[in-house]
Amino acid sequence: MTALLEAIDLTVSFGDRAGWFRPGQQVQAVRAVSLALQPGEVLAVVGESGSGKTTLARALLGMVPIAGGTVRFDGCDTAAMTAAQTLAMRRVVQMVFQDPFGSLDPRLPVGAIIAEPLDIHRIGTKASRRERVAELLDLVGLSPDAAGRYPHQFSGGQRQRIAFARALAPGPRAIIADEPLSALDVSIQSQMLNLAAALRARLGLAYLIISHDLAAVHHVADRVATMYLGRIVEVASVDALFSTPAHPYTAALLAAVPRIGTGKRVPGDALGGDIPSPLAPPPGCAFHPRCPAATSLCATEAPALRALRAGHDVACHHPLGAA
Amino acid sequence: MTEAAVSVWQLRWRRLARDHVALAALAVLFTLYALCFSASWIEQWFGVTGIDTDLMSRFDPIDAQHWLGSDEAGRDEFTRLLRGGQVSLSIGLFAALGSSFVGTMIGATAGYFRGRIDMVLMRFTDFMLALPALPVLIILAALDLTKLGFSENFVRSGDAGYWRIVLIVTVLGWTTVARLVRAATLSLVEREFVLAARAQGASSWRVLWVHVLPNAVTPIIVATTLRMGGVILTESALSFLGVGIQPPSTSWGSMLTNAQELMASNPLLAVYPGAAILIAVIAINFVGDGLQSAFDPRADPH
Repeated sequence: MTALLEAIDLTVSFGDRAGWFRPGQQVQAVRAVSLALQPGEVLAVVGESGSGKTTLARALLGMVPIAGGTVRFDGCDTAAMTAAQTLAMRRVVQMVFQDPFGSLDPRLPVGAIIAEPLDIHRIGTKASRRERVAELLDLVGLSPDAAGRYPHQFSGGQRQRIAFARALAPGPRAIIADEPLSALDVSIQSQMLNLAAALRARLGLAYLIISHDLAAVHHVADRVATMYLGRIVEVASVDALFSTPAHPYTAALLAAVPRIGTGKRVPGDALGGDIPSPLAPPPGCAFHPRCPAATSLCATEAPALRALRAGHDVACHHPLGAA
Repeated sequence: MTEAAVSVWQLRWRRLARDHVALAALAVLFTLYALCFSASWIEQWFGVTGIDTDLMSRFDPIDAQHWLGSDEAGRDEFTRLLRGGQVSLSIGLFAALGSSFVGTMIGATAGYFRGRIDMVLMRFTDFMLALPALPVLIILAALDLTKLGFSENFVRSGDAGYWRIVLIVTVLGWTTVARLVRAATLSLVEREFVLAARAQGASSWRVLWVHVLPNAVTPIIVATTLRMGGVILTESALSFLGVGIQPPSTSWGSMLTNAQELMASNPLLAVYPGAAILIAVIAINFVGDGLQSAFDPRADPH
């Protein structure tokens, strides 16, 4: 099966040129990442802030320049695509952003916002677009008269539904959602998750969900990739990753999820320290300064992502549960 | 909930209609324009003239025929004020719109495309800003248009002087707007809704036209209204220097210039055009304020 969207050895770096009084700096926000989104699957990318999740999402959409590697859409290298092919890709791969207060143009009424992709891709007539907007508003649980109002007249959850309706408008095959829930209340989060799940079943959508909310990821994802400092350190099915995490970082993330019922926190599980500066990543395995299982090997040699079991890849010299 | 069928412009108009200060200023401005552009009928009505001199009736006092008396050449001051207003108000409008248009195009282009285009356009803007405005104005205003291939007839007509000033003020006046629009564009381009539009495949043209400029409309409107006041004042300065509007035609600026020789004997002749400029500029600024909030959907109280 051809992957819908695939990153191969993808590297994205941000930098500034050297000035008169300071050297130029390069940050590799995404380092040699290979990841594939299959049609119809829900793939979650988890990691701390600064791990490069958002940059990965934007690079997959071609919204940031790629420093190395390739992105393939339906098997075609996106760098080699014509303008028309790129436009066609933008129609079927849609994005939902983290901040529903920033991702909707405050000057446009909601109807125009949702119809914008239809407008851009010249789908339908004016009348059919209006119908489609009403249909989409209904689909995400908003009343049809919302079309005439402005984004600021809606709550955060309602706005995220509007953003979702916009993403659905051109009939996409995949939705890339960048922390779609983090700006929302918990009750609205679950509504959104149920909505996303229902639409997936109905429309056969693939989702790439960027998140740091492991509970939500557990609920919706098929596969999970863990990112640390621009690299993918573990990829597995959601069950395998949650029951037998192989990378110490994944294990630490899972241990940090608050649980109801035990009444007390297990001490010593929380990860110490902060994520290192991507300007000066540690040598060897980028995680070794914070890793409880680090050895001298980890400080010198970066582990490659390799298959631990079928469908379970990990980049660690000393994977958990393997020794 | 009944707003579904209401267009954006209807909403904006409703918001403006709720702003009493702006409405009053708009009424003042409208009255000024209406009065000025019906000057010839008003002259007929009173049987006076604001253009032809009448040396037998110099410095006439205020009476029923001469509402504001007459000036040093016996012209009716009230209708002359209206004649001057035709020139001042229309130059203000055209030159302000012109410089806003040029400034918006240059500023939005620089802010959206950044990099080299931005560098070139902004250095050009700096260059225009660094030009000593007054000497340049004088040189441009003194240029002999016949040498540029315009016909003798056109150059001698009042029109040439009028459009020359509109053009000069436009060419020198767009820099502020360009910088404001560039700054607004730079920050708007970083917003997620612009990223969202681009992720959907929107063209640069569409992003600029649908997302950037409508969100930058507030600084544009404010700058335009401020420019309008500024243009009226620049025109006064040019007329003061003798390179602006030439007699027998007049403007508020040139009336002010005339009056300064008579400050000791007839100070009121300076007060009238001065007050006219003041009222027009203040009314324009209030209208600008009103438009600014009317165009901002977040200013809506519900």
